[in-house]
Amino acid sequence: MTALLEAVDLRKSFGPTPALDGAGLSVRAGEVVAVMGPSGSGKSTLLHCMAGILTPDSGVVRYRDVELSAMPDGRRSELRRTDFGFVFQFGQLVPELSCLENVALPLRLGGLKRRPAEARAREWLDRLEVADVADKRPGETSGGQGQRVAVARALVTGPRVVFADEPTGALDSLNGERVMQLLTTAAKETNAAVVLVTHEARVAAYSDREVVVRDGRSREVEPAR
Amino acid sequence: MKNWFPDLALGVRLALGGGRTSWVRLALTAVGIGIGVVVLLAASSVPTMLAERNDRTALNHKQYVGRGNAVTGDVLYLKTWGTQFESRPISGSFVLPSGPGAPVPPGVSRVPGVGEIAVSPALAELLDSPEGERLRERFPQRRVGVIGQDGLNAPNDLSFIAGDRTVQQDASTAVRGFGGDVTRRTFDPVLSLLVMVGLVALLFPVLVFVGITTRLAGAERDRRLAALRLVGAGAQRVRRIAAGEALLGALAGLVLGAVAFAGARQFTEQVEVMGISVFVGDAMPSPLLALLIAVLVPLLAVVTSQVSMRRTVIEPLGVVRRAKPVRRVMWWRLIPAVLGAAALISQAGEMGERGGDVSETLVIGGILLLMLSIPLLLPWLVERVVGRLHGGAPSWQLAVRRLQLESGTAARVVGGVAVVLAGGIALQSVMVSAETKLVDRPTSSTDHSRMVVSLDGEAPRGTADEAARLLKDSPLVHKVDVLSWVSFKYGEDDYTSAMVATCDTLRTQAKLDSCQDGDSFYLRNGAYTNHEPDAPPGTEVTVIWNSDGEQVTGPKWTVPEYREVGPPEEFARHATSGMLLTPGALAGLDVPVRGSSIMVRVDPDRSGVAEDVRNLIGPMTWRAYAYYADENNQEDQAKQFLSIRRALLAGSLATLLLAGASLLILALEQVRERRRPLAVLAASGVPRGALARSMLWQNALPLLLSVLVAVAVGAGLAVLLLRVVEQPIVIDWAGVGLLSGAAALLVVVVTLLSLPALRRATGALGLRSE
Repeated sequence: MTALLEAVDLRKSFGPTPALDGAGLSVRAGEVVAVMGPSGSGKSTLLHCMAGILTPDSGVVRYRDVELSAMPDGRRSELRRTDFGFVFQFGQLVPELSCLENVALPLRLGGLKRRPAEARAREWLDRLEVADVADKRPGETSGGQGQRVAVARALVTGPRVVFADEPTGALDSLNGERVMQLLTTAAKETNAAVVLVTHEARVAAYSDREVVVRDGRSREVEPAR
Repeated sequence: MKNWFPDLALGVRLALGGGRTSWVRLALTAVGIGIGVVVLLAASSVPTMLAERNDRTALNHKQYVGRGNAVTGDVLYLKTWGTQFESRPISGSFVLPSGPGAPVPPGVSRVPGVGEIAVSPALAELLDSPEGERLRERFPQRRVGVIGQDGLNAPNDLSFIAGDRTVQQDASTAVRGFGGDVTRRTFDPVLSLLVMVGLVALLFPVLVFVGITTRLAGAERDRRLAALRLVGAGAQRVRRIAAGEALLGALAGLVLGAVAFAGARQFTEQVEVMGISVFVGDAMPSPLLALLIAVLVPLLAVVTSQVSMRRTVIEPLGVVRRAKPVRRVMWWRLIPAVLGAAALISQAGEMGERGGDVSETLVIGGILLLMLSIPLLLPWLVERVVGRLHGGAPSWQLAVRRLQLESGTAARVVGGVAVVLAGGIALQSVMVSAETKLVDRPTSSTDHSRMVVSLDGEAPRGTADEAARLLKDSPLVHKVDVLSWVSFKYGEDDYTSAMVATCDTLRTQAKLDSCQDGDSFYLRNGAYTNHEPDAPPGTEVTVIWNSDGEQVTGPKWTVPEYREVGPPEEFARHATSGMLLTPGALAGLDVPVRGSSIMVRVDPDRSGVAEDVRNLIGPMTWRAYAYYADENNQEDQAKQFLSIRRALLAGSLATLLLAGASLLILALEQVRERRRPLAVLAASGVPRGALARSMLWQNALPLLLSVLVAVAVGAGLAVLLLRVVEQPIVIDWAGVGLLSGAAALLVVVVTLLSLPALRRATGALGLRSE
């Protein structure tokens, strides 16, 4: 099976500090890959490069055989809107919009009218068991509810890849488990790949395989089940 | 283009959607911009006010038949007249129509008949009020109407139109119609300059503040836009969304400002500034300027929001400041200052007393460029100065480090304050210089024991006697001296005149050792004139006078030998210099003596005695007018200057207040944005007092530098402007001190007002991040 998303020999430095030093990763459609490693190992930088948010200093990121760094900013924005979804630890929801509007936002940015966009958003909120917070703003929800709204927003466009950077980092274990269950189940149902950055083995357990990043280099390991 | 509307709409939605915080931010923006809009709308109403006033002045222009022309058809015989009440001038016309077709003055529906009067609303109010009780006696006529707006200059005008059978009926008083061409008012050069500086100094900061207000909560906005980028909004799209947010604040400010202006203009008739009030209808922004404001304010807001993002790329992971901080360079910031100074230097002397060919564009352009140099130079200066600071107490260190990290915003805000200060300093200095010139002239304070009743030159014979009788009959008047004048023609086409009075009366005008009826004198008064007599003794002259507007030639007379005398100890207005004759000196001549003045001695300690004297001669209507003997307009001018200075100072302080409001809004916003680091500092043991002091230094440092720049630019501007109008170079250091003190006070007040927000931010809840 060919790779949907592939990173080869990525190098990236922030000033004099190297974050990636020849890291690579290959993701196939529908699979959940956990990227693990200690703090400052470069795992988030790897995710950001693979998502086209950061441009690596050298190396290649290919999505469906097209090189991401060769794409103009507008095309990468479009890709984030249509093919990618994001779940971060916090900060990704627009605080001014209601949860429903947040979930509908990528659809609306894609040109869908408000009613159908919100109808689809509501389905996803329902699916992630947070329909009751649809009209609340993110600041009025609990951490677990907020993350589930974020998952709904990441999946509402039917993405091919979901990037999740420490999605349970700010949650208690019970809420964390629930979010992971919902995220991976929904991803499997839609055949979306998930790139999951975490340093918790308990979270990584939801993945099909694990990659460990240390000192900017990646190494594949067998999933710990 | 089709994407614009949804993107702008999303921006609006984002600006509104954050609940209380969003609404507070929007309200602050709207208030900030709204205040600016009110000031701009008020300024844009000035052309309408002047135009309407000019139109009414033109409408009220009297078309006299004029001496030497035949009076045909129905005309309105009209004599204008003025009086005073408690130092407030009252003016009006006594009228007598020659027939039913006589023209009707603007503002009234018909010409008031004999014994009737139409008064302005302000005069009606004064007459009906308890304080107008004394004035009622002067206007015993039956009130038949109120003069409408067409007949008035301003709502506070005290004016009247009264029917009077004594109005002389000749071509010089015959009015065949009302109306004329609009004449442009020409201002005194100093006043023009003040208006120019005032406009720039007071309006420019408004634009600065409008710009600054739209940049409120920049960090929060950037975070929000970064979240949008994450879900796939392109960079251009994010800019359009940001424009939508800015547009909402600007439009809200525009609406708020327009509503506030509409509300405030209802009270314009009640507000009197320097004796001037404005009709509600006149306080209307000129359509073109209003349109300009409606377009420019939102445009300015959008442009500012876009410019503020020019160094910021809104990236999906948050805000990345593009490249490393660029060190500000000075050379291009100096260009406006140099160009401005050059423009003003090129106009030196062009508005002076000798006149010149002034280019208003260059003068205004010069002022504008010099003012513009302040906000340009300040960020550079602040950056350089704070860059060299180090050490000190923790509060000082916190403030300095913060400013070293980012001093642009603070410099921009105090830039607005500095523009106001510099404008205020320049304005005050121009005023003080003009005032210095005025007070250098000889002056005296009014002697409240001497009044003069001046009689109209066209008044019929016997008027002086009638007025003297009215005055003598009153116990209020201590002494009455009637002064008359007789005019002579001599040589080819030369004229002279002599004062005629009894010895007793002449002693009030000159220092006479001895005097008998039949004596003649020549008064020399070095303070006024020292030239040789026009017609020396032995000159044959012809007595002349006016009758029905025509000059009548009377008998011949030879100037007798006279004694030269000096002025009396006491100042007397009517004796400047010239011949003084006792009635006996003109014996045998049938001379109709007219144009008399009556010197009246009153008790200066009796309150309102001047009003009583004016009331005594009330029945004389247009024929007599009373005032203090040595009343001169120098005192009025000095008062006027003082009131203009006060008004300018009030304007400068009001604009400073606006600057203070902006500073406060910004300080509050900064506390809100930095609540987490502040909370962390407080949690790790930094005393709140130290944080408060650091905030004070953070506000005070840029402001101190702004005051220095403002004083330098303001004083420089003052010198250049005073050279343009050729006035003595005087800098109003007292004004500089006052305005600088006010600015310092502003910083303290702003810091104090932001302390509650700081206390909230440094609480334990501030540590919560999500």
